Amino acid sequence: MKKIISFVISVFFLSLVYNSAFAAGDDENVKKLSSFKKTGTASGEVIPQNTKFAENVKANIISKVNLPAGFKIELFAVVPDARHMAISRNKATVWIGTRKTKVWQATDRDMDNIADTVEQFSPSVSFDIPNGPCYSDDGHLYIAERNRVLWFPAAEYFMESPDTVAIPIINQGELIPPEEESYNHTARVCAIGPDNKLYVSMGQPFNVAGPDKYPLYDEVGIGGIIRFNRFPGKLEREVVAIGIRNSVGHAFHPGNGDLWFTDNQVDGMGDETPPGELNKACGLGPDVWYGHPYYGGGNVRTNEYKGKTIPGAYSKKYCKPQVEMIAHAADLGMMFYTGSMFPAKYKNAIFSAQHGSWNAVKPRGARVMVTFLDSAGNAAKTEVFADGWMTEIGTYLGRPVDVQQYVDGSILVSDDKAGVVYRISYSGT
Amino acid sequence: MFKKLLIFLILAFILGLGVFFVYEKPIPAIKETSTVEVDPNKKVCTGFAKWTEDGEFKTIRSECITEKEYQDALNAPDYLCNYYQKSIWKESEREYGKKQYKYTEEKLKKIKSLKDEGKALCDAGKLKEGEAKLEEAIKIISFTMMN
Repeated sequence: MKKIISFVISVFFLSLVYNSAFAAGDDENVKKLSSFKKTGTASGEVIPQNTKFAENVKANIISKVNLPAGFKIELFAVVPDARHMAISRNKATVWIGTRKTKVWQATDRDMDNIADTVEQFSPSVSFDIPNGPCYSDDGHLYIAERNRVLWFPAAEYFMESPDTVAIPIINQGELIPPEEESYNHTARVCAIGPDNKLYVSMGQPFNVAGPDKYPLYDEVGIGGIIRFNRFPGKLEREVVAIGIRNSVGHAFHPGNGDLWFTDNQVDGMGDETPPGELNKACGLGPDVWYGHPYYGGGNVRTNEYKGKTIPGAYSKKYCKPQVEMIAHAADLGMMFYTGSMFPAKYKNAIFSAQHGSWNAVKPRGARVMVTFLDSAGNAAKTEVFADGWMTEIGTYLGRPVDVQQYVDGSILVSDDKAGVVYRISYSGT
Repeated sequence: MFKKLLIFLILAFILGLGVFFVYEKPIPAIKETSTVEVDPNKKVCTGFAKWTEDGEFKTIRSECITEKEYQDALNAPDYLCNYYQKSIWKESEREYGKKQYKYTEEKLKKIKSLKDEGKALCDAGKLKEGEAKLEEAIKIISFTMMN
C-alpha cells in the first residue's frame, strides 16, 4: 500500500514538473516534439531565391561594398530579418535567427557555396525573438529566445520536416523573471564554451537601470552573461559576467579559450560619446564586472551615476574594454577566424559587425570590422574590413548583424535591413 | 648595523619586484582606426536615396554639413543643452520614442517639466544649470524600463 501511495505521489509531482516546463504558448507542440511525436503542423514558409529582389540586392547593394584587395562579396541567401547565424558541420546548413518569430535554414544543395533553399526551420515551434542560434561541434543546435533556450539534437539531419525534435534546456519564463522581459535589448546570443557549456548573453532592459535593479540583475545575470549545462538534467546555471549593458555578440578564442564580447553602450549622452566596446573577459565569475551602469562605455561615467562612488565589490573586479569602438555604431555579432582561405594575418583575428546608429546626427557603422590580436592575446589593432552599406548621404543600404565562418573558410555576414546573408571569400586575384 | 640595513633594502627591492611582476598591469583600451582620420571638408550627411526604375540612385532627402561644421557644433558651449533637449523629445514626446518605454503619465509630466525648466535656463545662458535639469529628465527616461 505504501509503495502504491509513493508511486502515485511521484507520478503527480513528475507530471507537475513536466507541465511547468512547457508553460509557453506552444506547450503542446514542444511537449510532442520532446517526445519524438508529430504535431501535424504544415510545412513552413519557403523564401524564393532567384527573384528580382535578389538581382536588385546584387546590383544596388553588393556592388557598393568595399573590401580589401583579393576579397569578393556575393549573395549567399535571401533571408528576411536575418540576424545571428549558426553553421552546421557536415551539411553546410546555416540557421539564421530573427527578432520576430521565425528561424530560417539556408542550405547549399548543389555544393556551389551559395544557398539554394531558404526555409522556415521548425515551424511547429512558436518562437519568441529567436535571435540567437548556436551549433556545437558534436552536432547540436541551440536557440536562445527572449526567455527560453531550446535544444534541437538532430537539426542537421531532420530539418526537412516541420517537426524537428525540440527540448527546452531553459523553460519558457525561466531565463529571466518574466516581469523583466522587454522587446528592446532581448536579442540573445549563445555560444558553446571550451568547458562544453552553453553561454548566453542577456541585455538589461533599460538605457541605464536604476540601482534598485542590480541585486536581482547581478544574481540572475541580466546585464551579463550566464552559462549552464547544455543537456537536460542538472542545469548548474552560473553568472560569469556582470556590468554589461547589452551584449549581442560573443565568441571564444580558438587557442586559449578566452571569452570576448561586444557591448552596446549608453544613449542620450552625446553624438560621439560614449564609445562602444569590444571586451575580453578577465575571468569567468559572478563578480567580474565590466563597468555598467557606472561607466557608460570605455572610461566615460554615465550621467545617471556620475559622482557616485563605485561599490568596492564592483571596482575590485573591474575589467576594462580592450577596444573602444566609435560611439553608437552598435557592435553586434562577432567571431574568430580559424579558416585557411583568408591570408595568414587574419588567423585568429576577430571579425565583428557594426549594425549602425539609430539616432546619431552623423550616421555611422554598417561595417564589418576586424581586430588583430598581439602575441599576448590582447587587441592590437581594429580596422574596417568591409564597408559601403551606408551611402555618402547617410542612407543605409544594409545593416550587418552577425559574422560567422562558413564551412569552406569564407565568412557569412547577415543583414537585417536588406534581409539577406552575404558571403565574403578570398581568392587573392 | 649597515649589513642589516643592506639586507633589509635588498629584501624590500626583491619584494617590490615581485609585486611589480605579479600584479598585471592594466592594458589601456585601443581605439578603432576609423576614429583617427577626420577630413574637415568631408560631408556629413543624413538622408535617404533610392534607385529609380531607370537605375538612377536618386536622392529623396538629404541634409549635409561639413565635418568641420559638425565638429564645431559638437564643441559649441550649448551643444549639450541642444543635444539633451532633442534626445528627450525623441525618447518621451515623439510617438515612437514614447512607445519604447513603460512610461506612466506622471513620469511623462515630470520629464516635460524638467525639460522646460532646462530649456529656459539654457536659453537664459545658464548652460550648466540647464544641462543639469535636462540630465535629471534623461535620468527618469533611463531608469524607465523599455518595452
